[in-house]
Amino acid sequence: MTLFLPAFIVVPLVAALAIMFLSWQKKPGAVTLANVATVYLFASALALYFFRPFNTVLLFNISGWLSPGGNLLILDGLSHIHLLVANFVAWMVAIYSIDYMKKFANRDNYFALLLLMITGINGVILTGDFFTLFVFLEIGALAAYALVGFGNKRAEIEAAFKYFVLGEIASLFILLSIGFVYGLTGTFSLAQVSQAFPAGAVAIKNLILTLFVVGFGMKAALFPFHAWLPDAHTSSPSPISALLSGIIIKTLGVYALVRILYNVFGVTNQISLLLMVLGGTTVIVGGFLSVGQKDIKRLMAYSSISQIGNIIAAISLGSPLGIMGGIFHAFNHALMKPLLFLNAGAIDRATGTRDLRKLGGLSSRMPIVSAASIFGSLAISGLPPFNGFWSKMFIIIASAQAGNLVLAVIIAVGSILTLASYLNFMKGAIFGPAVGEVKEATPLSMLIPIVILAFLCLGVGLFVPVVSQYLVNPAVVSIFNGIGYGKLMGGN
Amino acid sequence: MYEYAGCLIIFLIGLYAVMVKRNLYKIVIGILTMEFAVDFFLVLLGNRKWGTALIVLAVTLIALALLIRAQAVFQSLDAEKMKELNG
Repeated sequence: MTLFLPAFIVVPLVAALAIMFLSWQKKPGAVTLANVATVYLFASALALYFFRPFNTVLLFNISGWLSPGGNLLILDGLSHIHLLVANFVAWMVAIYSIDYMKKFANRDNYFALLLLMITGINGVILTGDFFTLFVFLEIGALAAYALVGFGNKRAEIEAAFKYFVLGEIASLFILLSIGFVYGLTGTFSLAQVSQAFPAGAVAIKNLILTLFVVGFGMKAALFPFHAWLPDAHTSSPSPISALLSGIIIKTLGVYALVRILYNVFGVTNQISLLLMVLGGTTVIVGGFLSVGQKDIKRLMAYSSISQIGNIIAAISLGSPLGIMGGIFHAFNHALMKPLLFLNAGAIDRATGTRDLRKLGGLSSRMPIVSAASIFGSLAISGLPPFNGFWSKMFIIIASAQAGNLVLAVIIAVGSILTLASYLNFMKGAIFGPAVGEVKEATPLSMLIPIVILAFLCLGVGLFVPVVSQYLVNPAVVSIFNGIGYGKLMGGN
Repeated sequence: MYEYAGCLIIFLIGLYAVMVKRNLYKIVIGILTMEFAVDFFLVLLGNRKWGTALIVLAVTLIALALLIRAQAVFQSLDAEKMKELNG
């Protein structure tokens, strides 16, 4: 069964190379290959969920003969929830891209880059080694730069260049920090570092963790480092915006940060405070910036920043309910934000504009997309019975329980700002008098992922106890293993 | 100790170039300078993995591709001319 783990990295990589080869030979088959690969990835993530005994850890040693005890692939509760949702969204995006990408030249290269990005994401989620983490982080990020600039016009190239510069600086801060860790402990393995890191070195630990927070904070678009996100998410093709916003900023940013903070080093009070301040500020700044936006995708991008703030602030609380709220919100956001971006793509394709002033009255002309947009908007604004309501409620209760009423108020205010911006979106695009014309019907391959994601937003909201017990709680358990994580991996 | 200080200085020179320069080509050179400083740091610490070299190669290729596209689309490499979006 452990052989499934390397397949998460090998299959998309091989599929990407095969697509490039087919494209070079001018043969068709790229679309089929990409869809088969993503279906396989999601199916095997789901199969592993049912066959892995509950609350156990799966290990696979990549290179036992190269570096003894070294390079592990690790699947525990925290990685499994991310693996499931990442590969699910990737599958939805692959279906959606079949028709959406037809208007772009060179659709084969798009699918190859998409699969490379999935390789990076899966690698980051599964790896148990700092250096491998960095390599996969770079693979995912480099594919993402190329995909942001895929449209090849002025705005796209500018956004891709901004994203490239900020993303590379973030990667270098992370690599610098990894260098410090290696210098202090002489190993790259997460498990060994968690055991070998000198307990007394608090000052150097805070320095290392601050560098990690800056690096991963840039990747996750926390407040002072968020400038790349709205441009990149607005300019990329819509399915890529969905993946960037739903998955990339969470796995490359939040997941890696949480893993390193809690399981490798053990979080310190100063770092918790830093994360709480950054997270709280991000909620408010992202919320206020999203309210006045006229471009649908830009509005959604700013609201992504705000939601990332919620997740980071919740996780920084450090209490079981706080971490559970944070992980659950990350899971929910990975369902609702792709839904919203896919809807934005469908609206853009049908009407030819994303400007709220030129849109209106789509509810009668694009009923399915409009209904799904309403589902997504209500979910992200935190209205019951959708999934966003529950995770935001957990976060607010957790911060009140921790005696941090300021944070509770900030998150409530952020939620109201999110509601305001999405009401703006619904009022401008979906309801009201009909403005502009709907030029073409949305093809079935674009409607299927939208409908599935919309019903998942509702379904997760209705079955909260099941989801939280079977998906979120194992993740919380793995985080609360703390630096005992190393012992769990047989940290020799 | 001097070699580590040297690494830090090279890293800061690269960061300065990225933050101050207005020519895209110089910004890319700044990023690569930072990249080499960090790699040098890792080598000094005794790391012998080849991964970083490959990553630098890939980053350079992506950067050059973006520069070529930017030159083709904007007809210049001046960051001041890139004003389509307002972050």
